[in-house]
Amino acid sequence: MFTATGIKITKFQVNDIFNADFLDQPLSQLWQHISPLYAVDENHWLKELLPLAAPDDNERKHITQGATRLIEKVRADDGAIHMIDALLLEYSLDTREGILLMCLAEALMRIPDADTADALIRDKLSVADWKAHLKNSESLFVNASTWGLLLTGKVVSLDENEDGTPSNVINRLVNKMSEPVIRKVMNQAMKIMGHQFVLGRNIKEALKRGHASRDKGYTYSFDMLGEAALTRQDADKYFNDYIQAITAVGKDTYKGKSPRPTISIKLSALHPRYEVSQKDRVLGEMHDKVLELIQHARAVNVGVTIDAEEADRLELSLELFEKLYQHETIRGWGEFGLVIQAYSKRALPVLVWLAALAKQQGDRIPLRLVKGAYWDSEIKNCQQRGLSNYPVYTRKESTDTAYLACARFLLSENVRGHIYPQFASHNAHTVASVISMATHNDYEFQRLHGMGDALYNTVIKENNVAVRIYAPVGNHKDLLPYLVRRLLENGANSSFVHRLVDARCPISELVNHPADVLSSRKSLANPYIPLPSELFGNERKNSFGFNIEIEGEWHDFEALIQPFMSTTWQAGPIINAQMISTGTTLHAVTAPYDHSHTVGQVNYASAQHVEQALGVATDAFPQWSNTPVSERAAALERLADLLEANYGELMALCHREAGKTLQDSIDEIREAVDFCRYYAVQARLAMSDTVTLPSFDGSTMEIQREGRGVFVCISPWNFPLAIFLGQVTAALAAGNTVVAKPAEQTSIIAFRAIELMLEAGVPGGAIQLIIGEGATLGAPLTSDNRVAGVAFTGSTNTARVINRTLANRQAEPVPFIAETGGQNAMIIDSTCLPEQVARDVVRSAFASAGQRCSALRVLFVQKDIAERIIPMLRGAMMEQVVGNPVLHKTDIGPVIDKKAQSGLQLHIDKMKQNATLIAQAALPADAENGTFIAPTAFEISSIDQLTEEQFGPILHVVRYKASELDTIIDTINASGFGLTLGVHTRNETTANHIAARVRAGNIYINRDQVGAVVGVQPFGGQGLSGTGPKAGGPHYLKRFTREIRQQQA
Amino acid sequence: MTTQTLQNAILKAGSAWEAWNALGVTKRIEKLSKAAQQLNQPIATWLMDRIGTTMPAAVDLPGPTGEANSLHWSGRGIICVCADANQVDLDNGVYDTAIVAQLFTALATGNAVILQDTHKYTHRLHSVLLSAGIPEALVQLVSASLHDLTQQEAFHAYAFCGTSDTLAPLNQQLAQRGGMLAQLISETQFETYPTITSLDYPWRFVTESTLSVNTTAVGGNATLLELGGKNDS
Repeated sequence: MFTATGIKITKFQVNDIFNADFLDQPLSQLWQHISPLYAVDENHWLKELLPLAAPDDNERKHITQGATRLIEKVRADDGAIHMIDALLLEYSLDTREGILLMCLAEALMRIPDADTADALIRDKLSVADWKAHLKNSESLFVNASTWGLLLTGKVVSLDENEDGTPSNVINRLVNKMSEPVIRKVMNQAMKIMGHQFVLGRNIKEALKRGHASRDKGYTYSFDMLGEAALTRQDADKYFNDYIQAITAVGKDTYKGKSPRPTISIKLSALHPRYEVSQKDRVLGEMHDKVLELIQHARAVNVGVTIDAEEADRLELSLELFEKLYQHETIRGWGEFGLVIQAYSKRALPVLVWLAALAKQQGDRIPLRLVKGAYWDSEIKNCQQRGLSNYPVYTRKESTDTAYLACARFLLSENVRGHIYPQFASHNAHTVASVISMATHNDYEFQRLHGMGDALYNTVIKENNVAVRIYAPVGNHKDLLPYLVRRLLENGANSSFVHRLVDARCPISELVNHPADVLSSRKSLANPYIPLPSELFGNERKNSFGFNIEIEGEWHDFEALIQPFMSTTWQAGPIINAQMISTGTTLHAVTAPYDHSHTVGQVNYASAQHVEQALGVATDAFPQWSNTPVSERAAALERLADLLEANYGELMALCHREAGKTLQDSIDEIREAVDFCRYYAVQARLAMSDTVTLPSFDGSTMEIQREGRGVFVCISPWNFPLAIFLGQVTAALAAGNTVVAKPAEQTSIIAFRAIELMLEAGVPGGAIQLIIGEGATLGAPLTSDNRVAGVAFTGSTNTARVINRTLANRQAEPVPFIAETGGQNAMIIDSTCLPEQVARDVVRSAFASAGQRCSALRVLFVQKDIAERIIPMLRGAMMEQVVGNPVLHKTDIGPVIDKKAQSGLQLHIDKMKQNATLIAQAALPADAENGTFIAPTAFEISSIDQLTEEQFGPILHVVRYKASELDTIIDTINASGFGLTLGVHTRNETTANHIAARVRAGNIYINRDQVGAVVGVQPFGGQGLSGTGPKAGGPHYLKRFTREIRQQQA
Repeated sequence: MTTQTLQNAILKAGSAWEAWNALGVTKRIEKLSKAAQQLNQPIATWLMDRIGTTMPAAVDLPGPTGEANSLHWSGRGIICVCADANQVDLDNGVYDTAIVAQLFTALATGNAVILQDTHKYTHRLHSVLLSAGIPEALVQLVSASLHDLTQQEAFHAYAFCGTSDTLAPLNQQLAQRGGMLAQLISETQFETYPTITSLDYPWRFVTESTLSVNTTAVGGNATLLELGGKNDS
């Protein structure tokens, strides 16, 4: 096999990596083995990996004995269970109360205002069913008491003997009067916890406090706590923090024998756009910045380790690492290292590549091998994006097995001297395995500060091996997110760390070799975690997405799109399966991002074509309506498959005709595919059987559904494939024939969709496509008496016009399903996490250039945090890239046409006079060639300042006082719109209150508010925003049917 | 009745709507059942039974791990229950059955109602509901013409009983109205009642909402982590 660049790729054979000359291959050749394993079939890959991890009999025996001895010693040590271990033992994190208390701990310290803090305490301590759990004395109250004791340092005791029944104690604690006391106590408790789990609030304190452990032979790697930077300012702050930390460690005067401490750095803290899409910036300006840091570290001889982050950034991190590592000022140092996560399917080829990199440069790379910290979010992310498989293993024992396979490679003679392995684990079996596998001492162990003390005290005493402590340094308010993550990683009942300190768990259960456990499973992949394609079980297949962040996937995907980037399409009305070109008017289509770029030519229909189309559709109705629902559904499922088979062409059309970015285009196609499959399922459910039902008068009704006749489907340009096909497939599945009229701006993609529909077996009479301007075709389409229903998505005003035209016919009223605009709000209170909010706001307001019905228009920020949120939002906006949507680096493409552009520009100009400008992102240099609007945010005093929806990248921000929340909700409701609502709060009571009071169709809590998924978040609003039923929901298709009944006495 | 009086009634209905809607379907039906029994109208009991059994307040939806998605419904808001005044007294109370259906369905699904005073029976309906403890603001009897009622933009829907001849102009007048698109839920056939006995009928009175909660916002997905270590052999 050869790649596009002509490099020959041989299949990655696991056993080959031990060959003496394997690491001498060109780096570019070894690199080619990495990406293909991103989403490799788990069963297949683990079969290859297992022999590498599996021990022979002798090794197994040795490991079992070693692990048993370690566990016995840990359990014999009276001081073994403290700090994080104690929390883990007390908390099996499958209890609601445990999670609630964790939520409280996570948010409390960042809340600036007392009222909100007290409300959060009340929320967390009052919603759980403590009383019910008290009967079950074994677990929960014990847990709660422990938390109380641990959190408060015995300032407040939840001792049940103190006040009669224990639940009264809880009630007393959450009594309104005592809230300020609890708040103080909780804050104090967080500080106490902070003191225990953070080595120091600053690096000097950490160095000082570390001396005791260093005297025992340990050394440190310091981790500076904090979130990823979203703004240039935050990145600069983190950079300075790192510089200062490195300087301080460099100056440390500790005189003992323990090795020098190092610093761990998180790349996402050093640049606001550390992402594959911004590769040029990452390998350019970001590289220069990190280089400066490492050069400084080398000058003071403080080793630096680059922390591992999400799977999407792995390849990027390696490219950046390579460039830095090979820099002339870093060569020969041997103290610049990185972290690799063994749960990644790509870990082994990455280690091979790194070993070769080091070998070829002639110095060593310190490499921390961890199991991996983002496992749950990786799984969720893949399911959301419909990816082919997971980048991580789905079982704990698979990760443990992979860890040992990686360890065996790292400890091999071939690698010795090139990689300095640093094994981070708190699993006694893993530790014993590493000790058994090692034939030399050129490696070290690493553990977290506050975890595994007893285990490693034993290891360090009995083995001549270095142990480094990974220790968080920073503000206590930044601690809890870190701690919560550690608890989640290790706090589940099934985790080794949890069971190690649980004396009830027999040692024999803890010393099974993971390779043996894994081999004993019926399937190597975890059957409880469905693949993204199987998210909807047997009901339907999930739509498929590509991961453009992964080199291998992107190359394959790009190759599908590229052939269509220069295609010129010809499109026109399709009547009775024939494209019409007589009596039409020819229109040229150009790309919204570049008007000199021709996409194709489109023939616009005339009123006469409408008449013809309605005639054909009317004639075809009886036959299509009588076609069994199973056949209609099957045709739509074939269409779904055809859409996926034509991914490349549809992507090119989304780019070129609609101005959509890469990810938006993928999402668009996926939504269309989901609609086809969803309505196929819904039609079978609703229309296969006759429903028998007793009527109110004692008779029996037999009800069957059938299509109503000819449906007119009028769809917008902003989701030119998804909404277009959503309406059409629902109508067809229900047994109607359809005359579809897509927005004229996006006629070509609609034309191709109908061609594919015909190919899928929908008869030519059942679907008619009318292309052209709404102004000339709308009236003939909706005034015709033959029309049995209309589905429409577009503006509220157009909906009214259609409604009037329909009503003025000499015919019975027919269903009019209208999906219209919104004045969508997001409400955030002071318990929210600002970084999360900034990310979700930017996506909700500006993705797709704000041209989504669901897009955020008005952000309500609680006053107490406005000064933190608004600058962060400004900084994040300034990092957005506006430009050609075909490019991966582009976040925001053009708006659809000049009319849209001038309307939006007018609003911006007006707001510049009447509101405070928060930020306006830059336009590309060639913006004049297309129709771009710079993403802009204004601060306004009230939502009342806005009279109508602005369908573009314009955000308005309103500050509110916590006490005014209900007034704010009233003003949102008073707008009359009711489409989407976002809420960011850690207070469930607040979230529920807002969700119950705001009249919106789609409510999103603690996430962005765009991207509704078919069947998962049925979409549609109320009031001025639409009629319902919700598209992609269980009631939509039924509105396209009529009920036929037989009644028997 | 003056336009002002009608508007005041609508305002009053609007202020009572939120609490009634928030009460939940079970409690609403409980309250309405008393009135239904008094009226001896099988259609009311039958509809409330259907609403109670086929319209769960929330349905969980499938989706990715770490996200809780559910579908809910609530009353649309204020519904005008009206009828063809020239016809209502005819045909042995067949209209009454339809009006009862519209009124009870509107209320049971969480709406506030403005009931057009078309004939004596509407007075009886009104007083029975009040005596059953339904708050006065939720069901107000107004003597206004169909035309006047169609001018009010605050009505979310019109539940109409009458002939096709009246229906068409009513539909046209509603379409002329500004504001939101009003739903027109009409019964015009009084022998078989195809509208009020249809499967989808109560759903026409409600609006759906989707709730999507990121359950991993705090830091992770404990449930999934548990699955990762599940012992299945």
